[in-house]
Amino acid sequence: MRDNISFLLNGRVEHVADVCPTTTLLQWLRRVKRLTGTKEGCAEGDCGACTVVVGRVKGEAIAFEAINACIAFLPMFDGTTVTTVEGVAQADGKLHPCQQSLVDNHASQCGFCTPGFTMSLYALYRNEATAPAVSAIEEALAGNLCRCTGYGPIVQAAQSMFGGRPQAADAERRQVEVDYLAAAKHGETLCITGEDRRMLVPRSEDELAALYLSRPDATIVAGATDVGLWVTKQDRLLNTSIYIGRVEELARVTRSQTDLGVVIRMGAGVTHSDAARALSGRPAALHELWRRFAGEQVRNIGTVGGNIANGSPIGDLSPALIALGAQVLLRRGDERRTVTLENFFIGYGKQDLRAGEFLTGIEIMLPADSADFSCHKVSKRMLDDISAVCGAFNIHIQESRVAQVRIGFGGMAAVPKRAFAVEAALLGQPWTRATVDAALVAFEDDFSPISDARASASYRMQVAKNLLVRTFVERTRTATPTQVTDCAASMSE
Amino acid sequence: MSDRSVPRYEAALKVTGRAAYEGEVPAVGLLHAALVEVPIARGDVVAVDASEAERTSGFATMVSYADAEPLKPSPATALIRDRAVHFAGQPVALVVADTLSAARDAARAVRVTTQARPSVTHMAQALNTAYVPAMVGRFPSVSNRGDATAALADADRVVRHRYETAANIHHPLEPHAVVCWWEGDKAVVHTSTQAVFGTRAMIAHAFNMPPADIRVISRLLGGGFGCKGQLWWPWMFLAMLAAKKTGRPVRLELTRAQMFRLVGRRQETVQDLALGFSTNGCLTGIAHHVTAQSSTHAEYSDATAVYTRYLYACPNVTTSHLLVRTNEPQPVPMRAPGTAPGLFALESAMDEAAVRLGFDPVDLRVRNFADHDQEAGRPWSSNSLRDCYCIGAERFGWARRPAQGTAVDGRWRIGWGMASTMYPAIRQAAKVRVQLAADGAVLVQCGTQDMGSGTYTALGQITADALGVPVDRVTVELGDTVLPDGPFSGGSQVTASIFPAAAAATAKLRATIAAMAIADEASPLAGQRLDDLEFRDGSIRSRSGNVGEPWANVLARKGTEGLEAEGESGATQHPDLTATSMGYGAVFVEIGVNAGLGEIRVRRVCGAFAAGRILNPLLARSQYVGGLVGGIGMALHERTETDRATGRMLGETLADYLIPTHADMPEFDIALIEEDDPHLPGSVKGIGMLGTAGIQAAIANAVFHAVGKRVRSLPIRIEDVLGRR
Ligand SMILES: Cc1cc2nc3c(=O)[nH]c(=O)nc-3n(C[C@H](O)[C@H](O)[C@H](O)COP(=O)(O)OP(=O)(O)OC[C@H]3O[C@@H](n4cnc5c(N)ncnc54)[C@H](O)[C@@H]3O)c2cc1C
Ligand code: FES
Ligand code: FES
Repeated sequence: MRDNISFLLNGRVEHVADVCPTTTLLQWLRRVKRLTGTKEGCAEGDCGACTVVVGRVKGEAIAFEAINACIAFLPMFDGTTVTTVEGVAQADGKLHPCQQSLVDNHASQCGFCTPGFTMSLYALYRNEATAPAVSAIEEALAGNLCRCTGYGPIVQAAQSMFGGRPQAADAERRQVEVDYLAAAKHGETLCITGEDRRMLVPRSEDELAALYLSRPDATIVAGATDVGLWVTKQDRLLNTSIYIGRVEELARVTRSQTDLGVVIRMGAGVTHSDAARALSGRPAALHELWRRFAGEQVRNIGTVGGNIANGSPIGDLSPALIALGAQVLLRRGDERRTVTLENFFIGYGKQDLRAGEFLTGIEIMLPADSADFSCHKVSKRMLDDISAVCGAFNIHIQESRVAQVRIGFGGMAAVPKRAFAVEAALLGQPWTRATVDAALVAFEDDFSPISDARASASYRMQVAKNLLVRTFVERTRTATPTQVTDCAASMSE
Repeated sequence: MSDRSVPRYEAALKVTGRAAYEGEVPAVGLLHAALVEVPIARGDVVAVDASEAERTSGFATMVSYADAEPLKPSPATALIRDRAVHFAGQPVALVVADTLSAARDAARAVRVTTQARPSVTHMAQALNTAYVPAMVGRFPSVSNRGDATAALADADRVVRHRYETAANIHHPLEPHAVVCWWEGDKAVVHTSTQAVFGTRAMIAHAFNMPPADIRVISRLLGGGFGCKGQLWWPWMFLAMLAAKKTGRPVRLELTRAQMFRLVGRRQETVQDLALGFSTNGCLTGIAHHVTAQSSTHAEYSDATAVYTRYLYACPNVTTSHLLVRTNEPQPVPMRAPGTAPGLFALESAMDEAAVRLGFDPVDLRVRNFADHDQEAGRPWSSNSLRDCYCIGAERFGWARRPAQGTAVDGRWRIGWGMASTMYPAIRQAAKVRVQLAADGAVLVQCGTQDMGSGTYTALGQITADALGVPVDRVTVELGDTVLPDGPFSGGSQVTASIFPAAAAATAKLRATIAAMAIADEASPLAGQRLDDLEFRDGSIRSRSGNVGEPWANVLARKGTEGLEAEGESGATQHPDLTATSMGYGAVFVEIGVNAGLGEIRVRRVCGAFAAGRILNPLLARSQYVGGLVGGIGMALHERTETDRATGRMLGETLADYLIPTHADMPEFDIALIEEDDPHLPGSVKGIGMLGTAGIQAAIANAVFHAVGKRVRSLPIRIEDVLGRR
C-alpha cells in the first residue's frame, strides 16, 4: 500500500504525504500551495467559485471535467490531473481563449466568481469543438453563481471563445496530461493517514469488499458531494473512510438484451454525467431529469450509488429508478444479494444495508416504449435547485388499458416511495380521465407529506396528484415522449 | 474622446487567478480565527469557559466581552462589549489557533452559559411597539405636503393596498474576511470593506487611537452590495483584539451561513399605500406608510417611502416610516436601498390605478410627471424620465401590448408590465492624486475602493482622457488609507465623486505642462496661447497651429523627475442645492406564466435609463444588467425567514436561499439615454442602483397582465400565481 498521493497539478507532478485525508482539494490548494486563485464562496458545492478541471481515466477513455474543489477530498485526486485557474494561461502569460473572451466581453465585475467561470468555460472549451447551443452553455454554467454581472456577458464569452483556436499550446498540454494519466492508470491501493484520520483507496471490488468487511465502521466515500458537506459544514470527523472512486468494476455501465427487454446495469460509482452519456438519451425523461440535476460540477463527480445510498427523501434519482423497477445490487464480503429499490429504503435515514455491506450497482429495465416513462422535477429555480416533489411514472398501455404501472415519488414521505395504492387503482383499468380522476384519492393512502421551507404538505399532495393528471393529459394529447416539467404542477388541470 | 468601452482595468488579473483579495494576504505566523455562537435569540451570557478549548491542539487564545470591554462604547462595539444576546447565532467570543480546523475545533469546545429571555422573532409579534425613527437616512421619517387625508377622502378614485417585501441577504460571492496585525501601537488591517476610511475611523474610535496609526487596505472586493460596511466591524474588532493579545497576525473569514446573520440584510417591509386620482387620471393625494424591521441592538431604516415624495406630481403627499425591533439580524442598506421595496409598492399601485382608471400604464405616468421637485420646491438639475418612458416603450414595442389575459405562447401565458425607477445623484468629498513620470507613465491614486463596479477602470479612463493618453499608460491605485481620502463604495456615487477630483488634478497638470512648454524655447509650442493647447494622443498640441510634441518631452527637457498634483472635490450640500439631482429609468418586461404550473419566467427586459453622461457604455450596461438581475432575484426568489420558535434563520445555504442562475436570465435590451447636467461636474450621476429597483413592480404588473392575479408580496411564490383569482 502506498501512503502518499501524487497527481499532476497544472502540468507539474505533486507528491503529498502526511496530510489529513479529509482535507479538501480547495483547502490544500489555498492553504498549503497558496494557490489562491481558486476561490471559496460557500464550501458547500453551491456557488462554483472553487471549480477546477480534473482529468481522469475512465475505462479506455480520458475525461476532463469541471468539479467543485471545496467538497472533494485530496486523496480522490491521486493519479489524476488537476488544472486550476492559475494553470490555464499559456506559459508565456498569453491568456487562453476562454480567459480572453471573458475579458473582452466584460464578463467579470467583482471577479470573485470569475476563476470558477473561467474553469467551467475551460472545460467546455476542451470538450467542444465549436460553440455549443445556448442551452448547453446554460447547463455547463448552472453550477456557477454570479451576483454582479447578470450572466449575459459570461454566456457571450462562452459563445465567442471558440473563434480562431490557437491549438498548439492546448495540444501540448493535453499530451502531457494524457501521458501522465496513462502512466498512473494502474496504481496501487492507498492508505492515507494524517491527524488520526485514515482514508483507504482500494483498486478492485474484491479488495473493497474485504476492506469494508474488516472495517464496517468506515464511511464509504464515492463523489463526496454529500459526505464532503458533512466535513466542511457539520464539522463531522471521518476517522476511517474508504474512497471507492478507483474501483474500476463500480464505474461500468453495461447493457444486455433479455427476453423481457433491455437491462442496464450501472455500477454504483458511475457519475451522473457518465450515466447520462451511457444511456445516450434513452429514456428521454431520465435524460431530462439529469439535465436538471444539480450543476455540471456535481454531476461530474456525484454518483448514482451515492444518490441512492444516502437515502435522501428528496434525492432525484430514486423516484425515477423506482418507476423503472430498479434492483439494488449489494455485496458484503463475498455475499451478494439484490433488493428492489423501494424496499431498500426502510425509514428516514435508514436503508437496508448491513454492517460492511455496500452497493455495487443497480439494474433497471428500459421501458419498451420510451414514451411509457415520464418524470417531473418540481422546483422553484430552473436549474441547480433541489426538488420540492419529484414524481416518475412508468405506465404501459395495451388495448387502451393500463397493462403495467410503476410510480415513484420523492419529497412525499420520509423516503423515496412507490405509490402502490395509486398503481392498484390504475392497473387493469381503461386509460381514461375517469380512471385517473378516480385514482387520485389513492394518493392519500400512499402519502402523508410534510410541510417545510420548500413547500407545504397540502401543496405537495396537490402537486403529486396533478402530476398524474398531467402525465395522462400529455400522453393522450401527443404521441411524443413526455418531458420533465419545469416547475410546479397545476392546481387547476 | 477615446473609445469609451475600454475593457476592465483589472480583468486579466481576475481571469488568471492572480487577483488577490484581502483575506488572501500572506502573513508570517498567521493565526486562524473561528467565532463562538450562541443559540438563544435573546438573553444574557453568564459565562464563557475556554478551559476545554485550551486543551485542543493548536489553540492560541480566546477573546470575548472581557477583552472587548476596554473598547469605547458605540453601536459598532455594543455587540461585543455587552453580555446581551440580541439574536440567535450571535457570536460571543472568538478563538484563534494555528489552523482553521483547529480554530473550529477549539470554538466548538468553548462552553457558553446563557440565560435566555423571551424573544420577539417576527415583526407581527411586536407591532404595538412600533416607533418612528428620528431620520430615515438623510431624510425625515415623516413628511406631509398639502393634506393627503382630505385629498384621498375627496378623490374620484382611490387605490389602497398593502404591499410586503421579504428580508433579503446581500450575498456577495466573497464572504467577509480580515487579515490584521499590530506593528507596535499601529494596526494594519486588510479587510473586504466598502469603506476603508470609515473603517479606519471606527477602529480609531473603538481602540481610542489616532487614525494615522491605522492602515486599512481593501484593494479588491468580491462584491459588497451594502453589507461590507458597519455590521462587520464588531467581528473584525474581535480579530484585532486577538492579534493584539497574541502578538501575531490573525485571519477571520465568515462562513456562508454567517453571511445570513452577521453582516446585515435588506429589511422586511409592510407598506400601506393609497393613491387618489381625479377622473382625468391626475394624482390628487398619496399616503405611503411603511413598517419595517430593525434589530434590538441598533437602528436602521431604508428610505422606503421617501421616493414617493418625488416621483410624481401631486399636491398632497404624506409618508411615514415605523420600525419594529425584533430579535433578528440588523438590516443595512442593500442594492437600491429604499427604492427597491418602495417603488415595488408605488409602481404596483400605479399599475392597479391604470387598470381601474382605464389608462395605459405609460400614459398614466407621463400624465403625472413631476416637472420639478415638489417636495423641496426647486427645479431638477436634469430629468429625462419622459424620454425613458418614450424610448423604452418604443424599443420594447409597448404600443403593441395585447389586451390583458389574451397573449399565449404554447403553455405560456404572456404578460407585459412596466415601472419607473429612480435614485438620487449624490457626491461625497474626494481627493485624487495624479503623478506623471518623465517617461509619460501616469499613476493615479485614490483611497476609495472598487467594490467590483469598475472604479479602477473608471478612474483610469477619466485620467487617461483628461491627459490625452491611452488607458494602458495609466496605473491606478485604490483601496488604501495611505492614499488620498476617497468616498465609501455605495449609493452609486463613487464615480460621480472622484470625477471632479480627478478632473481638478489633471487640469492642474495640464496647466503646468502647458506653461512649461510655452515658456520653453526648445518646444515647438514656445510662445503659443495657453487656451489653444490640447492634450491628445500622448501629446500636447496647438489646435490652430497644428504643432505639438509628446508632453513627456516637455518634462524630459526640464530634467524633472515627474509632476504630481492633487485634486479635491466636495460632498453634495443638500440644503444649499439650487436643483435636485436624480437618475431615472423605465423598465419594461415580458413574462411568461406557465398557467398550469404557476411557474414564472422573465422572457425579456428593456431598461431605458437616464443618468447623466455615460463614461463607459460597456461598464454601464453591465452594471444595469447586473442590477436588473438582482431585482429579478428579489422579485422571484430571494427571501430569508426566521424560525419563529428558535429565532434561527431557516436554511443558511445558497441551496436554500436562491439567487438567480443563468437559466433564469431573460434577454436584455438596455437604452442609455445621455444627459447634459450643468449642475453636476462632468454631468456624472450614479448608475448602479437604478437597475435594481422598478423591475420588481414591472414583473408583478406583468403577472397581472398575464393571468389577472395581483401579487402584492415579494418574492412572488408559485402558490401566489396558482391560487384563485
Ligand atoms: C450543490 C449540490 C447540488 C445537488 N443537487 C442535487 C439534486 O439536484 N438532486 C439530488 O438528488 N441530489 C443532489 N445533490 C446531492 C448529491 O450530489 C447526490 O445525492 C449525489 O448523487 C451523491 O453522490 P456522491 O457520490 O457524491 O455520494 P457521497 O457523498 O460520496 O456519499 C453519499 C452517501 O452514500 C454512501 N455511499 C456512497 N456510495 C456508496 C456505496 N457504493 N455503497 C454504500 N454506501 C455508499 C456514503 O457513505 C454516504 O453516506 C446535490 C449536492 C450538491 C452539493
Ligand atoms: S466554494 Fe462554493 S461551490 Fe465550492
Ligand atoms: S463578478 Fe462578482 S460575483 Fe460574478
